[in-house]
Amino acid sequence: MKYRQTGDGHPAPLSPQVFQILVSLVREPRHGYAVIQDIRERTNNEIHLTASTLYDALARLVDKNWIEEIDGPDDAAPAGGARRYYQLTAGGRKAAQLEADRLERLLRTVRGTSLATRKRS
Amino acid sequence: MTWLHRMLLRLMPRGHRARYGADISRVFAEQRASASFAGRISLWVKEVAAILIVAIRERWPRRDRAHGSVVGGGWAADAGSVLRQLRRSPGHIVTTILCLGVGIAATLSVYSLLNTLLFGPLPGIDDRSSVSRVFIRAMVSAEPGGPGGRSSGGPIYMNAVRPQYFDFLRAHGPAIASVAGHIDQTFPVRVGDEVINASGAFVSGDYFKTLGTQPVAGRLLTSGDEERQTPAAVVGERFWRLHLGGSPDALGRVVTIAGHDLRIVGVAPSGFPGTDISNLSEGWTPLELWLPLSLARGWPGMKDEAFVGVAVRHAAGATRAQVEKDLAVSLAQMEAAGPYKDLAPMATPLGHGIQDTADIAAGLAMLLAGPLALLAIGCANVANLQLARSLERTRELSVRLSLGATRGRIVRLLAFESALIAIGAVGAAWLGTHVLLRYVSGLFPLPVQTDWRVLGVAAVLALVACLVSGVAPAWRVASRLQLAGLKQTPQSGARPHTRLRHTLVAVQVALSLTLLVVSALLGRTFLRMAELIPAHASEVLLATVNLQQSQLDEPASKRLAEQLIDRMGADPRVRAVAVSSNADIFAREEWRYQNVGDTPEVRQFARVQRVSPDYFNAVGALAIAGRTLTAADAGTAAIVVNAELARLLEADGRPAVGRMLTLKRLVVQRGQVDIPPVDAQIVGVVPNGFQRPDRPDPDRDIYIPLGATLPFEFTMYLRADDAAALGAPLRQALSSLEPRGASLESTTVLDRLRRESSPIRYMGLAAGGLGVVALLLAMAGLYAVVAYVVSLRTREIGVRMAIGASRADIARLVVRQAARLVMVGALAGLAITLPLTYALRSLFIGISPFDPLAFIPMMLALVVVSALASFVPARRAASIDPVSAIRAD
Repeated sequence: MKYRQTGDGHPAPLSPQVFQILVSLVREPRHGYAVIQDIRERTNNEIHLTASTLYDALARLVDKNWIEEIDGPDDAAPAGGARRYYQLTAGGRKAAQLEADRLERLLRTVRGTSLATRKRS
Repeated sequence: MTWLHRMLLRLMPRGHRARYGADISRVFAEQRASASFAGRISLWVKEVAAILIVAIRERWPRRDRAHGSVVGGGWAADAGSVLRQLRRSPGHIVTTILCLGVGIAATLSVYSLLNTLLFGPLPGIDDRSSVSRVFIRAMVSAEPGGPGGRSSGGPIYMNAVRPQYFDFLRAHGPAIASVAGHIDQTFPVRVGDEVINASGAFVSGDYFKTLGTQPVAGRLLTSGDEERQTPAAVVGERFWRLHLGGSPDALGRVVTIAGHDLRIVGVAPSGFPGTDISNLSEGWTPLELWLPLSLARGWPGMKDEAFVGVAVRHAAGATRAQVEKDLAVSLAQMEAAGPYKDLAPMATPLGHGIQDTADIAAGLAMLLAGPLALLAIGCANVANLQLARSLERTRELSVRLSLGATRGRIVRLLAFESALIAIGAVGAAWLGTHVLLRYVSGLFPLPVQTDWRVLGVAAVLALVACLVSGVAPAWRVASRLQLAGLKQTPQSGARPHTRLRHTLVAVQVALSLTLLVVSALLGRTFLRMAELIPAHASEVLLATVNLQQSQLDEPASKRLAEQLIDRMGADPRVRAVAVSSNADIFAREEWRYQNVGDTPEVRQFARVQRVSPDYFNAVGALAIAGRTLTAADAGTAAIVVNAELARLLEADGRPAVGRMLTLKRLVVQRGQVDIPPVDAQIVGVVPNGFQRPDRPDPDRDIYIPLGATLPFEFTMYLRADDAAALGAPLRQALSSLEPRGASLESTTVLDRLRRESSPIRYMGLAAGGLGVVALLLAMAGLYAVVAYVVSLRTREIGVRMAIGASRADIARLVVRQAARLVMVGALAGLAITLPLTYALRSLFIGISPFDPLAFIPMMLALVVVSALASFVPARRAASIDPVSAIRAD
């Protein structure tokens, strides 16, 4: 359980929301609503962000330099101004990768125990 | 709704809003557009919570952002975390807030009402707290069969003194600023063609000064009016408005009251209750007329023994004890001058009455304890819910601990959460009370103000209940988890606090049973009272005729009554019409009676009324032995007694009918000569007459034939199918026979009796309401505990089913456990309730405090409700899949 300790060089685990936002930007840059939709579909409705939660997280990710704002394609500007698109930076990709590795390691510790085959009731 | 979202966004820090506000609005609108109705609601809830969390976090930034929010941080982080937690379990929050809120609201409402009644400002009275009503305690020696059946000696309380002794009290000491005296009286006042009965009083010169009353118009009576015997009168604001047009011109007008010309000099404020706040209660006419005390002597019909009620205003800074000391000096003079012994003054705050009377104390105790019991049930419920929740959250707490949070920090977090819940409950309660009091204020004579001190106390109680039940278990869980680590789960650990939770449920059940039984007893009392009202009570019109204004003498009064009887008897609707000498259905003269020849020591007391021949037909009383009185009995010594008196007389084995009694009138009225004892023969026995519904023991009644006279105030009884319709023709007949003015008040016997039983009805309704709420709360508590226990025993239930237990067995197992809790609670409830109802027995008139018809149905109700509460979790337990249950960690 070392990785959970902070301040000793290991990054803190990401919240599920932040991790999912990064994952959804891995494939292509997206605007806010598209991120929400993507996460909803991939997590089977389990994570349903609202607008304020999303932009709160996006703001923090921009501050951390994990993602950056870019201009969207010209044809993607509806009435009310151009949408802001977000794309992953190298730092963001690395953070997402570390988190995926962490989760992978975590899951490995469970394999072979009864937990791995536990049915959700 | 976009505007609402935009408003909420303003809570966010400006920078964030400027950068993302438009995007957030747009995305939120898109989300709403694609969601269903239910989805939109959940979207709103989540969004509002998210905005609040972001707003709190950004406006009050954490000191160490490096730490994850699960580990540490400031109060703002706690707030965010708590909000997230609460958002996750809205059911828990709502239940907790309701449980506590109901208890707090009930306590707050009742205590606010009582506080207003006992200590709140009274209309027209300045600084209520420095005015005292004076009662006098006298010790009487034992006398067999004294008035009212009192035979043992002991203290008696006097609320008034004879006029000659009032002067002793007036000469007051330094602790008293001024002394007020009053003799209550009803005045028939002619206004235009009508004669109105105005309640009022003869008051001493310092009366208004003592009460600190300010006039609405003109001036109030002063000591000058009393000394000079000025024929001055003060009217009430309502009288002024209704009968004098509410104009200042009315001042100086002369009204004639019982032959006295009185000049109206001023108007007293609206709702001014004098020294007796029962004047404010529903159904009582407000005081409307005040005359100088000096006019009382010689007032037509005024009894020589009219007593003066006394109130005093304390000198600045004087305590109640000092006032009583001063009064004691006056009472010593009274003892020297009169027949009294061992007099002791009691200066009581206005509206408090004499507090050692048992039924007031019992009623008050019930009023005070009922809501507190509800609050206790609410607290127990909340404690239970919090305990169950703290165990559900074991895993969350263990994550926090593993991530490095200290125990203190977790406690702080939970304390914060508990406090928020308590604050929510207090807010809800305040709102509820506000609405309730607003509704009640129409029924209540005084403007009710929320009592902040009570709200404070209730809030502290709620806070303590929430904190202790929310934090203490978490502390223990945290201690254990620090040792055991993440693996600890509710299922695998011991069942913590089981005993505590069970105790709490038992306490709830016990208190609910108590409230239910008390309300059932009050309900039975009310029903019993309704039973005491005979079916024909609606067929009898009761009319009090007052000829004070016409100044008729007693023979003239009798002649007028006979004319009235003739006139009304001619009406085809009237089946019987009669008069009796008493001024009200319950007012009688107290007479002494004994068998002729018995020694004076065995004398007893009975109530006597003189009745016209048709009286027994009019009130529907047929002779059960002998005969009733006839016109031929007038002037003879034939009497009729009621069943109760006959029963007492027949204790010696001889029949009541035919025996001779010696009768002696006790109270002598002005203008009546003191008549010597008379011997009379009982010619018949009639059933017990109309009884006050709040007095289950029948009175001893003697009916004697009406002689040649009748008091100027007498009662008419008219029997008809639609008795209420006879009021108007009777009034017409009276005003044509006595054009100088006679006042008349008529009501059916049914309404008159109902008025007497309304307080107990209200009390029963209030207690019933409390009882039902208590039952629901206890049901919720039981449900929570049983459901939780089922979740704890999932694995055990799985094992049982795997080795062959049927679903019915499992359901029985769960129900049996719940039933055991209910049984313990019910037994404890009985142990509380039996002595309690015994202590409150004076409230349950005519009903045993251990009445099985109140106890058994309520216990059954408790059982049924408990069965319902445990049925749902039992069914859930029975439907557990044994395989997955055993596999569950």
